[in-house]
Formats: sequence, structure tokens, C-alpha cells
Amino acid sequence: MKNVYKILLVITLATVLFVNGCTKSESDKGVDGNIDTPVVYNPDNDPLVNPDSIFKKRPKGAISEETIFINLKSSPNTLCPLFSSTHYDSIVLDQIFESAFTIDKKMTWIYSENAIVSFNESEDHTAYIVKLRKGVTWHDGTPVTAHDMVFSYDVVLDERVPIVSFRDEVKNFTTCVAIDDYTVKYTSSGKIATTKVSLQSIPIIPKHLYEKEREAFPDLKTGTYYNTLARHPVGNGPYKIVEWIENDKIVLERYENFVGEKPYFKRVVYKIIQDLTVALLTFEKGELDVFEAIKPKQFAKETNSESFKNVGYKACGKEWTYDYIGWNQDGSNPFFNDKRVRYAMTHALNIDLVFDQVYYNLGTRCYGTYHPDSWMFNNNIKLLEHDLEKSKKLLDEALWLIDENDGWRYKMIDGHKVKFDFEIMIPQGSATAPQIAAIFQKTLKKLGVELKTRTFEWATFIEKMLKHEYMAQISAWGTGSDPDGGWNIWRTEQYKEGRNTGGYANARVDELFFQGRHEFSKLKRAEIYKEIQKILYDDQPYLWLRNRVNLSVVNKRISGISFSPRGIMTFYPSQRNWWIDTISH
Amino acid sequence: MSESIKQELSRSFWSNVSHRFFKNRRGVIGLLFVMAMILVSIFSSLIASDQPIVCKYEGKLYFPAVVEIFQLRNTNKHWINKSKPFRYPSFEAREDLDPSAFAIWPLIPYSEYDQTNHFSQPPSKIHWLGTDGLGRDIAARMIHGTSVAVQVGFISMGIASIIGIFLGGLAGYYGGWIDIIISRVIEVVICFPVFFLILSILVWLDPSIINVMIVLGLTRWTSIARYTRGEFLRLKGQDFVMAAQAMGLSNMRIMFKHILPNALAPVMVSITFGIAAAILIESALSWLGFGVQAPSPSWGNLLRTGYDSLRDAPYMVYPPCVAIFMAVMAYNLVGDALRDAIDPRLN
Amino acid sequence: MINYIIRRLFIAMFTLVGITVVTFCITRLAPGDPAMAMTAGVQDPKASAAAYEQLRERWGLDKPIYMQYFSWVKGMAVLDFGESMSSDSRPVIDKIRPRLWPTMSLALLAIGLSLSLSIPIGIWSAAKQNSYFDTITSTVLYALYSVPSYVMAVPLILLLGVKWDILPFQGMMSDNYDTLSTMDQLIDIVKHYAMITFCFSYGAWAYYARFVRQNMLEVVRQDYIRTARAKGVQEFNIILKHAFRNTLIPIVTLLGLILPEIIGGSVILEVMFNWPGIGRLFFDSMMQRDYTTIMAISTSTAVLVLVGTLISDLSYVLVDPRVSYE
Repeated sequence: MKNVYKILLVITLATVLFVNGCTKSESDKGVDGNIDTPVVYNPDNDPLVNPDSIFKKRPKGAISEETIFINLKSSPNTLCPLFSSTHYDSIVLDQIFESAFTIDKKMTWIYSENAIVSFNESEDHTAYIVKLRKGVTWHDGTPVTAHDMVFSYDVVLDERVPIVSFRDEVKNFTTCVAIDDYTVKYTSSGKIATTKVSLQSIPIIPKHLYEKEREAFPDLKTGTYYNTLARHPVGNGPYKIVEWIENDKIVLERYENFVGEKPYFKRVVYKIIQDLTVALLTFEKGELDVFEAIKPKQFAKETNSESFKNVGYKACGKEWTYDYIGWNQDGSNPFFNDKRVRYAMTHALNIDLVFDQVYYNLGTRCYGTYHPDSWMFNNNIKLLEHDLEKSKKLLDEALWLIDENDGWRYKMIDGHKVKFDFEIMIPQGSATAPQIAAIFQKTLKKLGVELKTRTFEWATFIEKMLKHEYMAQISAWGTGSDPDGGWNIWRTEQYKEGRNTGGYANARVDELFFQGRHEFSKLKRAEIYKEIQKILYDDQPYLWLRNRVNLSVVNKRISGISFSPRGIMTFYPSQRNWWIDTISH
Repeated sequence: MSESIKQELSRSFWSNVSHRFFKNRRGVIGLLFVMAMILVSIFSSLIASDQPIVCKYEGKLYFPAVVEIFQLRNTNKHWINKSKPFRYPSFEAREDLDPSAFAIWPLIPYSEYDQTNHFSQPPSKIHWLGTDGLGRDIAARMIHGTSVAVQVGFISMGIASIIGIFLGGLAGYYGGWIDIIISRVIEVVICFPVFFLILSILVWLDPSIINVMIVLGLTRWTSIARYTRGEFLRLKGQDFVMAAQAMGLSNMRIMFKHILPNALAPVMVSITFGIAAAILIESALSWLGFGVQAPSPSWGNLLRTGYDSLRDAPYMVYPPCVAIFMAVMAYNLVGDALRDAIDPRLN
Repeated sequence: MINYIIRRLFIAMFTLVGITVVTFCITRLAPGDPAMAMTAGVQDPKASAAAYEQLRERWGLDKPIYMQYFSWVKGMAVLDFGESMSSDSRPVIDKIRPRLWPTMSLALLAIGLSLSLSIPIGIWSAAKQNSYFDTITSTVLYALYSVPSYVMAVPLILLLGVKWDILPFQGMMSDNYDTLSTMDQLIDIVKHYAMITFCFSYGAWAYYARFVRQNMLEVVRQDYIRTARAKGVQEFNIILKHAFRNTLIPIVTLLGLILPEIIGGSVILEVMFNWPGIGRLFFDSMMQRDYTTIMAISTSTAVLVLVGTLISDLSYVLVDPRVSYE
């Protein structure tokens, strides 16, 4: 019998030693009995972050036979531009299709010279004339013409085609006709300022291929023909698709008849790796060149090893996305329709601790809805800071008083004693939300407020949001290229129709959004949206947590990276300008 | 004369079983471990808590950690309350108590929710197993997670065994229509989308691990039922059964007093592996995010957190790993020994 | 006997209907529906209510539940599994087909390995009860069983995959598969299968070995074995021909029940090793409330389970002459 335990002991020890050998601890402090002050990560002090070499611009015309490997966390759903809905669809679609209108790295609306020769907007904003570049072909050789653009417009407005998100924008254009084979004319009412921007939402699809079975399948989705077309698209962009192996990888090859500026890499392989820990390991083996959207924790703590330093650099760029805690102030709970309570909450959160321990200082303080780099940012906003005394005072003022008996806060409402006890909703899979909630819970306990957390998987989380069945929730919003995108979130009537899930209602804000949509002068629009930002920050319908940063790891050999408010990939020309600097290597 | 007769009276079936069980050293060790787990889960607050076991405050004696034994861990509604200063949420015993006053602290002076300033520290004299990203003591979290490990196996397999043995026995013994119906029910339950049920439970009801285990118990009885049915099928043709029937014993009595002890042996393997498997299932559910919800600790969700921190804080993954390993081994050893003890023909 | 089989098949149809109804209803129990999962991309406030309604209509979600069930049954009658209720809207068959073989092959390998390892070990342990061999193997197997498969995967990946770089840990084949010779292609596939198959199957080894050992121990003490020995039959023959046959019943019972567990249990490993299997598809479909895919996979599994239980019941008769179904 004794031998059995000896054997067990040996096996356990052996395993422990082995695993220890391959996972050298990356924390950098001593351990003998005394606790050193913890070393807090800050990307500004990290020499691996944003080295100059990764930004070096590609010399014009530089081209090669190399292959680049890029990580996708999730498989794209479809490669048909009409039905694309996720970030991952866009990443691959941007290579296969050349959009006529798009955004550049500053989120400015531009037209692509690979597709368009000139663009003309009439004085009264009612007519837009687009001249296409000649010689551009689809991957099967057919020329791209104005008829493709007209067809695309018709298809987007066709009610039978189940388009998820951009139909309303395209409706801004009342007609679209082909004046000749290479000229298109759009008309609109002329009243809505965001009309021009909506042009980028109309995808171009090949008419000669998509009209083939339109009689039989007017939704352009059903049937073998359209399914194949969505998996093996024929585009007009610099890359054509070679193969798409389910849940494994997508391989693209450079289209040598591309009329515009050809990209550097001959082949692009998107590897689909869902588990981020494994993805990082694959990167360290040298089998991935670019890995976007790495977790903050991985960025801060898991990229300091020898094996990482041998292959990679880190890239950290500002992103126009913010994390927030949203309050439900529609009256279904007795807490958050009182502005003093919301202020008390904001003062209660120890935001510096959150930045140090949860965000690893990857991100910046958030001043409300718009990003400091944007043209509509109001820089007269004073941040609300962590101040427990202020919280206590505000809660007392709002009549949430500490009970002698058990130390929690209660308020008399309609003759009943109601305890300040609320639940915060967390979406599953969030890397940071549970920890923020835990930190918040600790401080609120000191104030006599009880916070409980509840995690829901995604579909349930969304349903609860839309049905307003929550008290508080943690999630994030991305700002689009135009601030009019906030219409859906902040206007009063959007409580029933849109994304105003917390029941925020402010008549002045409603008015301002309406004005902003119809004002054409950029200067005047800026003033309008700046005022919106100030009012919103003053009302604190959200506890704004941070402005995110885009985190990526990049193989040392890659250059040509640039940042945009949407990350390193989904703007123009982003991926196409990546190259390998063979000169200084 | 009468004394020698007394000594020859044979022991009952179950006292024979326990006699043989305790002779099996491995089984006893497993049982000791299981008992230790049960004790730790009941008295967890005496081992790890942020308030003392007994202390003197303003002249009077208080027993806050003892009261905690009778309270549920992650809620603040209690049927029995601590005394005044200790029950206030703003009261922090480590700071607010006079250090020179008399106090006996638990072995680990932290609770599982206590966030200190010692973030992500490897094991040290102050934190024996280290701390996690929010400064919570891992040893405290492991101690309080033990109750989940204890409840998980017994609840789900308890329910599953009762249902499975009963239905399986009925099906095997009676045959005919009863067998047909019960077998079909078994087939339907096998094909249940269990995960979906768990998802729904987590949303509609209180997301406690107990509810999840009840769901698991209600869906995992099928294999026990099929084994039992197989054994009853095999045994019902035997002589002792026919004899009992000839004697006019009721069917229930025959089934559960005569056949069942003989059928138990293979079923026991299934049950004990089932208890051990329940711990593994909890850790799999926690891995996917559906087990015990944060911030409450369970060995399963501590394991997942450890995996996510594997590259920068590997010390976090060992405690839950080792604990799960030992608990599963212990249950298996107990089951093995129990089964060896039940089957009289094995000696 | 033939009557029995026909009767069972007939009843199986009803059972199948029952299973599909239950699954159909339970999947709709969880909050949310595929249309909501698709249109509510939280970071994009532009997805409109109109899109939501259009999707609901397209997938028939606005009809009462019994009508939805009937349309589904109508489709199943011609083996049309419908289109996936998710962003790609592909026919469900196209989504499932390429992923069947990866999971099935793992399952078959796991079962095969488990049986071929555990039967000899179990028999030997029973023959030499309480010997060193018995003690050591059972301890090692128990130890293996007590480690969850994904926990085992981690040191394996770190050691064999990263540090020593002997085995790959991503997908089913390497990136340069097409350029390899046939022999190398075979080796490549075997290498990719190695780690995930081990993780997938080692848990079962302990279970089966213990099982076989236990049953053998019991059987070996039966009277008819003693008779055979007394008659002078060789020990080897006794074990193989007489004792072993009687342990087949429980083993066979086991096989018929594994399928749902495999499909459910393979998710985590499939994610870690990036294995394009059905477990992951099933899990993702549940998260997206992709009702059609969920029903397709559940129904196919149900059919296989029903066939499995029928076969295992029939095997009872074949293996043990005392059992009959008249």
C-alpha cells in the first residue's frame, strides 16, 4: 500500500515541476515573506509598446511574394457585403471589395481613388454625381460599371432582401440612376446633413452575378447559387478569395489585374482562433503576424516573456469606444431616477484603482460620449472624481439614510422602508466587468449600499436590456464616424423604438439631435454636439468608465501599421499598407 | 451454552458491509478526506473569515465568526444576525478593533470577498496561497469553495440514484408494458438538451449551484436506471427470486429487499463515478461560464481564473487543480471500497 | 425476436416525436430568439426594429409554436433541415456536414483506444487481483481520471506544443498540407490528432478498466467458472470464452449511451485545439439561439441514441441466454 502513495507523490511532484518549467511566472517581484508594493503596469513605461519600426510607411509601389498571417477571433458569418454585420466580416470584406466611399484613419469620409475618379455634390445638397474609374474589373474579368452601383442601390432598398443595419441610411437617397456607363447620379431631399456619409453604407455588388437567380430567390440569400456566392465572393478589390476552410482559415490571393495600388503581400491568411490564450501561444511560435484585440491582461502581463520578446511588438492605439455602467432611470427601480444618487455612484467608484488593477492603464478617462480626438469634443467638461464624502452627503440628501439597526441605507417610500439594494447586469465573457463590479461592491458596502452582480449570456443580456428589465448594466458603445449615430441612444422616443434602454429623457437633447441632423455647417454642428455632450455628462445617465484603446501584438517584421479610432484594420487603406521592411532588417 | 449461541448469531448485511469497508485502507483514507471536506465546508468561517472567532469589544465578548457558520455566504438577509458593530457593512474588524484587546482570529484572517492591496501576489507568509488580481486571498476562496464541491456530488447523484434505481428496478422486474414505457422515458431524458435547461434555470431562477445540481440530478439518472434494469433483468430469473415469489412476498419487498442488494454492485460503480463526475462537471460548467457565478468562489471557477492567469500568475492554478484531483480520487476510493465491501463473493 | 424488433422500431417513431417536441419547446424556453441575437449588436446602435421584425417573419418566429413545429416536421419529412437562423443563413446541412467527421472520428478513436486498452488491463487486474500490477494501474488510471481533460490539455500544449515543439495544437492539418507528399500528409494528420485524442479519451480508460475488472472479478467467482476449472479447461480459455462474454453486457450498455455526452463534452477541447467539430457548433448555436441547427443536431443525436439503445438491448439477448423478450 505504501508504494502506491510513493508513486502518487512522485507523479504529482513530477507534474508540478514540469508545468512550472514551462510557465515561468512573469510577475516581477520578490516573495520571501514581505509584500512589496505591487508594480502597476503602464503602457507608457513599456519599451515594447509602439516602437517606431511598426509605423514605418510603405514605399510607393513596394510589393512582394510574401504571405501574412492574421488572427480572427471568430469566423466571419458571410462574405456578401449586403449581409455583413460583424467586425470580422468587415475585416475580410475590406480586402475583397473596394468600396467607392469609405473612411480614412481619421474617420473622415473619403472616396477611394481605386474606384472613383471624381465626386461632385451640388450646392443645395440634392444631387451627388460620381464618376467611376475606367478599367476596374471584377475578379472574373467583367468591368465594374455604373450599372453595378445602380443595381446595388436598388437591391439595398428592395424590401425582400433582409438587410440588417444600413437600409434606413440609404433611404436618404431618393433616386439613383446611371447617366452613362461610368457616371452615377444620386439625389436626396437635401435636408439631412448626414446624407453624404451614408454613401459609404451602400456596398457595390456585381450586377451580372447577383441578378442571375433574382426571379427565383428575390432575397438574394436562399439557394445554392447565392450561398456559394456568399462563401466565394467575386469582388473588385485587391485580393480574391482562394479558399475558406470552415472555422480554420480564409486564404486570399492578390488580384494581379487590380487597377489601383496593389498591396504588398501576395497572400493573406486569416487564421480563426477562438481561444485567446492559445492564439497568443501561436503568435509566440511565429505562426501569426498580427493579432488584434488581445485582452488587456494579456497585453500587460503575458507579453513579457523571452519567447514573446523574440518575435513581437505591441501596438496600443486610441479607439473611439467607451465602457460604461448604464442606469435604468425609467422609474422601475427607486434608485436611479434621482440625479443625486447617480452622482453619488460616480463619486463612489474608485476609478484609479479600476484603471490600475483592471484596465492596467490601457485606456484613458472618459469625458462622456465623444472622444477627445474628435471634432465634436467638448473640452470644457470637468471630470467627476472619486470622493466618498461627497457620495455620503448626496445619499443623505436624497434621503437614503443609514439605519441604526443594520448599517445599510434605507428610504421611506410610500410608507415602506426600502433598502438600497440593487443588482448590476454583466454580459458573459467580459474580461473586465466582473472585476469592476467587485471593486464597486466593496466601496458601496462601506457606504451602506448593497450591490449584487448577475451574469447573463449574450442573448439574454440583450433581451433584458431591450425590455428594460434591469437596474444597472455594464457594457460599451462605439462612436461611429458621425455623432448622429447617438440619435438612437439618447432621444426620448428611442425608449420604445431604439437603444435608449435606460429611459433617459431630456427635451433639450432631443431638440439638439434634430438640429444636428439637419445642419450642414460643420462648425455649427460641432457646437450642437458639444452642447449635447455637456448636458449628457451633467445628467450622468451613465457612469462613464474609460475610453478604450485598441490592443494588438505585431510580429517584428511587420511595418506600416497605423491607428484609427476603429483599430488597426477597419478603415481605408489599413491592412493594404502593411509591409515587411527588408531594408533595415 | 447460551453465550456460544449468541456469538454465532450472524451480523446483518449492512454491518457486514461496514466491517469489510473499514478493513480497506484506501477506502478509509478516501472517506477521511470526504469527511474532512464536509467539516471544512461547515466550519469554513472558523478557518477563514475577516472577523474574529471570539473577541472582546468594549468590555463584552463577541463571537462573529461563529455566527457566520449559520449564515449564507453571499447575501445579507439572515435569519440570525451578528451583534451590533460586527453586522455593519462599514465595519472592518482588522482595522476597527483595538489590537491590544483579546481576540482569537481564524487561521486565515480574510474572507473570500476581502479585497486587500496585495494584488496578484505569489504565496507568502501573509497569504499562504497568494492573492488574485483584486487582492483576494486564494486560500480563503478555496476554503469557502469547498461547500460547493461537497454539495455538488451529493445533491445531483442523490436525486439521480433515487430516481434511477427506482425506475430501473421497476422496468427490469416487471418487464412488459412498464418496461416499454419506462425505457422510452429514459430515451427521451437522455436526449434532453441539458445545457439549455441549465441556461434557462440560470436566467429564470436563482442562479445558485444548487439549482444547477438539481437539474443535473433530474437528467443524469438514466445510466443508473439502465444498469439497474439490466441487473434486475438478469436476476429476476434466479432461484432466490422464484423462491421469494413462491413464499408470497410482495413484489416491492422482493425488489428492494432481496434483488436490490445483489444488483447494487455494478450500480455502485456508476454512482460513485457519478459523484466524482459531478465535481468535474461543475468545473466544466464554470469553465464555460455557467457554474457558480462571480464573485462567489468555487473550485471550478477558481480553476478557470487560474487558467486565464496561467502565463503571469501560475500559482493560481495549482490549488483548485490539486483540490479537484484529490476530491475526485477520494470519492473514487470510497466507491471502490464500498463496492468491494458490498459484494460478498469477492472474498 | 423479429416481432420484437418491429415493435421496437414502431415505438421508436413515437419516442422520436416525443423527443423532438420536448427539445423544440425547451429551446424556446430560454429568453431571446435568433432575430434578437442577430440585430442587437450592442456597439452598433443602427440596427433597426424593422430588421428585427423582418427576420422574425423570415424564420416564422411570429407564428404560434405548434405551427412552427408542424412546418419543421414537414421539412424533416423530406429531410430538409432548413436554413440556419443566424447571420450566415446557410442550409443547416452544409453547416453540419463538414463538422461531423472531426467529432465522430475523435469519438471512435476514443472508444477504440479505451476498449483496446482497458479490456486487457481490466482482465489482467482481475486475474491478478491486488498484485502490484493491479494496484499501480488502478492508481495511475484513477489519477488520470481525476484530472479534467482541459486541465490536462494545458501542460501538454505548453510542453509538447510550445516548449519542445513536437506536436501541433491547432486544427486538423498544417498550413502547408497541400504541398506535402502523401506519406507526410498522413503523418501530419496523425500528429494533429495526437494531443486532442489523448485528452478526449484518457478519462474513459480508468472508467472502462475499472468496469471490466469489476465485472470479471464477479464473474470469475461464479459456479460455472469453478466447474469449468474442475473440468480441466485452461485458465486462458476460461477467462476469454466464459468469463469475458458475461462482462459484455454492461460494456455494451455503456456504448449505447455515450453519444450525447460526447457531443456535449467536446466543446471545451474543440475550442482549445481549434478543432472544427460538432460540439462547438452545437454550443455556438445554443448561444445564438439558432433553433434550426439545434433541432437538426439534437434530432440526429436522438436517432443515433435510439438505434444505440435498441442494439444494446438486443445484445443482451445475444450475450446472455437467460434474458429473453417474449
